[in-house]
Amino acid sequence: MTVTLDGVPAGATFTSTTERAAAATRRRRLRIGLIAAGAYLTVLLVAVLWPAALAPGDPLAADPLNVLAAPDGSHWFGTDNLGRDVWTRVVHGAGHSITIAVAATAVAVTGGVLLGLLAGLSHRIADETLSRTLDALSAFPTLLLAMLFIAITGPGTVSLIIAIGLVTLPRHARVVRGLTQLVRRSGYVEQAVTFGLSRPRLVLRHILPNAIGPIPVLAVIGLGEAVLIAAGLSFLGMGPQPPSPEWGAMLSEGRNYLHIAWWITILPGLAVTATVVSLTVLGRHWQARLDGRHR
Amino acid sequence: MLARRLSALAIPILLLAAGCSTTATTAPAGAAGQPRSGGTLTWAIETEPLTLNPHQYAQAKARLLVWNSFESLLTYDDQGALVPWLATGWQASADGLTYTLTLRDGVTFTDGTPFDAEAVKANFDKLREQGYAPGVAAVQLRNLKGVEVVDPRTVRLVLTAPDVLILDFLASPQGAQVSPKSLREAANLKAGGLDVVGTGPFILDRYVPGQELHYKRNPAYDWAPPTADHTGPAHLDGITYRFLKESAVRIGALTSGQVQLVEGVPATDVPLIDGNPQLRLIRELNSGSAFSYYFNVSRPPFDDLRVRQAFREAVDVPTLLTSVYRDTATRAWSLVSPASPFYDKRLEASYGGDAAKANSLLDQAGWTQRDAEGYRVKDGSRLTVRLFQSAPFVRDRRDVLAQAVQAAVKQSAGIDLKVSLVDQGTAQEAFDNNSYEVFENSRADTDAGAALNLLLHSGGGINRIQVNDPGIDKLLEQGQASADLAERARIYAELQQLVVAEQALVLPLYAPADQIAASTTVGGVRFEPTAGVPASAYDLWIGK
Amino acid sequence: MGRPPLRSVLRRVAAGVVVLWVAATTAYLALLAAPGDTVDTLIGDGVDTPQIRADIIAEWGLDRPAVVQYLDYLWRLVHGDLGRSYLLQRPVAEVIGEQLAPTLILSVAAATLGVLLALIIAVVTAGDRRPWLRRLSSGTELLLVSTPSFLIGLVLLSVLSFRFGLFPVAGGADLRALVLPTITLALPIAGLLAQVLRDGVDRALDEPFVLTARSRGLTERVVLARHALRHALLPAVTLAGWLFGTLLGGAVIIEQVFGRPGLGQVTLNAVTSKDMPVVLAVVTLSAAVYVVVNTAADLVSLVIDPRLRRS
Repeated sequence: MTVTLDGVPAGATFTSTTERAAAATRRRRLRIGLIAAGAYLTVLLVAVLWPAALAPGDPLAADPLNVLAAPDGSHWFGTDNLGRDVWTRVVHGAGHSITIAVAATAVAVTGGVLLGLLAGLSHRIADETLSRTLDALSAFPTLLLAMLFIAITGPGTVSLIIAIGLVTLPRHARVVRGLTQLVRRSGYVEQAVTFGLSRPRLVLRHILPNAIGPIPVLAVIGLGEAVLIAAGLSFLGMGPQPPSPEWGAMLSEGRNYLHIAWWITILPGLAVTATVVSLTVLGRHWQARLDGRHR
Repeated sequence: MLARRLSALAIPILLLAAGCSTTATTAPAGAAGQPRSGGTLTWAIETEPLTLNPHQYAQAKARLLVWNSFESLLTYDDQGALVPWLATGWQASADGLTYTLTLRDGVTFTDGTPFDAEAVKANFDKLREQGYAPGVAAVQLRNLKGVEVVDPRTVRLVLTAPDVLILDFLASPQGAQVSPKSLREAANLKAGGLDVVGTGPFILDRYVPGQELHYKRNPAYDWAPPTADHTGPAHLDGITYRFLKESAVRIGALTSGQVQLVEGVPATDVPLIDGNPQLRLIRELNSGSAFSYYFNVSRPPFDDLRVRQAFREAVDVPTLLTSVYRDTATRAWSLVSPASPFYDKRLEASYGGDAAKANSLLDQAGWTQRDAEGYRVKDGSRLTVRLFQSAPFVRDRRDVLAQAVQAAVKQSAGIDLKVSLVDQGTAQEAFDNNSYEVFENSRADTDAGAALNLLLHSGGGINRIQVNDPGIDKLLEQGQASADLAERARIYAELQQLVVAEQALVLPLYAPADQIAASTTVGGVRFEPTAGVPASAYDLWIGK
Repeated sequence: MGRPPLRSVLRRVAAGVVVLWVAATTAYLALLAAPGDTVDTLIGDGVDTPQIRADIIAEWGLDRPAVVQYLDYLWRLVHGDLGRSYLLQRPVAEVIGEQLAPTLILSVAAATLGVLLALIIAVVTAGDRRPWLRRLSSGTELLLVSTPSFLIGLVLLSVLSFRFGLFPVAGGADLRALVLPTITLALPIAGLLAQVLRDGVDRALDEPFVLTARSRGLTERVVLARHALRHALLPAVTLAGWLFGTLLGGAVIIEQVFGRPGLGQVTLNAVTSKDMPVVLAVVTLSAAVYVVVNTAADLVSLVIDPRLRRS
């Protein structure tokens, strides 16, 4: 999804009157989606910060006598293969999944901004070396690179976070590098230099704020992608350790029961999908507003 | 030269009697009619073999493939006694240092090479070659001095020390006879393939890595072991083994009729199979050692007998097995499988499942404090024990079982069992650094003594819990040197009392079993006697 | 059309070689730093005695200094020798070679289906002619790219194969067995590409040249297909690298779900069992393909957009 943002060059477009009216309709519709997404993300936030409010039980409490129970009044998401309540696990799992996604995105953004800034400010050889390294990093399919990383560090939450951060880092770095060069070459910076601004001050005050413009939007959408990559890695057995109720791990554990107990897999799956959709809607809306402001 | 007379201890020569009384563990009735010839089947299996060369065999899950195209000198009947196969009989010298084997006449490898004493010698020589099969050379053949060809139908194995387990080796996949021509000429000998052939009832004629193996019938086959249901060539024209790792996919393929047999049926799918009149399920316990948690005695807290006993009492094994395997698992009381002739029945119901006792034992051992999360604490440190599971080798939902044990010991005794599912390198690192307290294992050796040697002898290859007890070593050595089954059973029973009852070195959990779910049109579905794993396709047939 | 100058082609190739070397070396160093050593990998959960260890070390030449082993690895790599698999005891080139075809077939089928679907969706739903269809379509696209692909695969498999028996479950031999994996792999690709293409078409429809085309009396369909779509393809082509990554990464998961043979399975097995020679080969190979694909994409961009030729 991110590619719609960093893959498509944003250019000034000629907007006709009819197009403007149509865009207004689209925005109205977008608003409905936005409200739904906002509502879901609010509930999600509650689940992350205060899971007991939504599900007071223990996500790890096993009930050997009540395994694979279908959803009903007492377990309205059913129970899993160890008799654990799926709703409680999904709610408590939000904390794990969202923490992983946020931390991984933080790693990607921090690393990406630093490297991008460094490359953008450096002279040819250093810039070339950094850019080539980033190229090499993105020379691998995201999932494959994350797999290799986890193969080396061993599975676990921390290595999952670093792996996802690492594979999503280059895109942030590229955007920042490009914008840094743009700002650096603009007459505006040259002017600032003639005014006698020190170099660190220049970077912090003038280049950085201009170079990281698109990063927050990229990061919001990147959060969704991080959730997806984590789920994929968990499916391949490289995610958090059991009995963690992390969503990907739940999907992965439940997959062998899909034909006899769909709720173990499908309901956490819906939580993943809803999260990614909501984050994407939010990100797009934000992007649209930024574009509107720039116009 | 030693006297040739047979002592009382020497095993008498067994002769292959036609229509031998040994009946195999045949499936209950279900397939209609009499065995008939012809047709092909597809069997979905869980594990793709790492190698197709039987000498390199290391995966119990691949055993059902080995006997399609390869055969050993001996095999086991369902009583755990050795019976002839490619060897018609054997004779041990009085001092237990020489084994003389007579070979069957008229057997040929499927590449046309005759099977004779030279071929047997070539196999042993190859197995002992540097770098070819280091595991076999260092363990099973460690007491072998050399192999002599007496005449084309007789070979003699000369040992450096008495070792009855050499006979177990002769009945094992690693002891299967490979054509000397293959040994010389195969492109990738250690990987095996179409050019590594044996004497079996089928010939491997297609291997699509990652997808399937296909065998066609060996029309010249006429030397079935006495344990088989019939003689002569196999019933089937051919059989395809499809590799399907995901259990849901295997079961789905079976229920939708895309395959006729599957192995590895998860407990949760059993009702699905039972409820389908077109399908039936059979299961059998494996031989060897039971799936158990072994306690590392070289470091705290399991250097304390009371903590080991407490851990065992804290686990209510039957409840856990029911929740994870839904009444399809057999509880183990000893580290020896109940399917083994060496199993010590006296251990049954002698320990376990007493949470109050667990708590009082831990109190006595000084673990009296509790921390905020409810775990026991002594001198400021939590009662934590670590179990590393190596992901590539986890099967039977042992990761789920570990979670269940984890929850149980926390709830009933405040023990913090930390389970880590890791790659092999990380697990190995934990072993090398001695930074683990629990080691889990089951072995599929047909002779449980072989497994016990590896697990419990102070110099054993997988003695991960670092037992160093002269008493245990002595019993193990006696068990390996004696040729008398009753005597060995007595020795191993004494050993089990020492290890399980007195020292509480191990928490036996369940006896590994294999399940086959098959379409009712398939007849002759059976398990390999004693080993308890699915048998080869030799006796399979398709009913009308 | 104009040809890119030789100098820039050479520079691109040189850069590609550097990327390859960095990738291969990084992977080598990373695996060297991984916990457990090669001997442990080779022993697996088998029997472990000093004698066995010594045998293995001698057999694989593991007693040589790390630098020598690395140089040996590079030297053999340059000569196209990928080494021998620790786990399978066979030449890596053979292991990968025989698994290349199933993955290629799946990837090509999925890429074709994905791109076709995306083109159709983009053309049908672009502009504001059928707002309800556009809404439905963009909603579906969003759902598809937001759902883990293994979940889509498992659901398709459960319903279409197990429940209704429409498609066989696994295997590369039967063409029908290719249907479900292809759909599973193609859907997220179609979802994303359709979004990009439609955005592009929308943007193009606003461009002056479209107005000119319309004013010349061309029908809407011709305007769309010939002008707007062509304009929209450019950003889509820059996604070739992404597409390749998605296909290969997706193949790992799809092959696991559907029990298909292929590179994904080889990679997963090699990674989980630390079969170093195979892992290294996959890394180098995928880096090589990526470099080639991206270079090709750059060249195609030149063909589609004449403006780029001048610069």
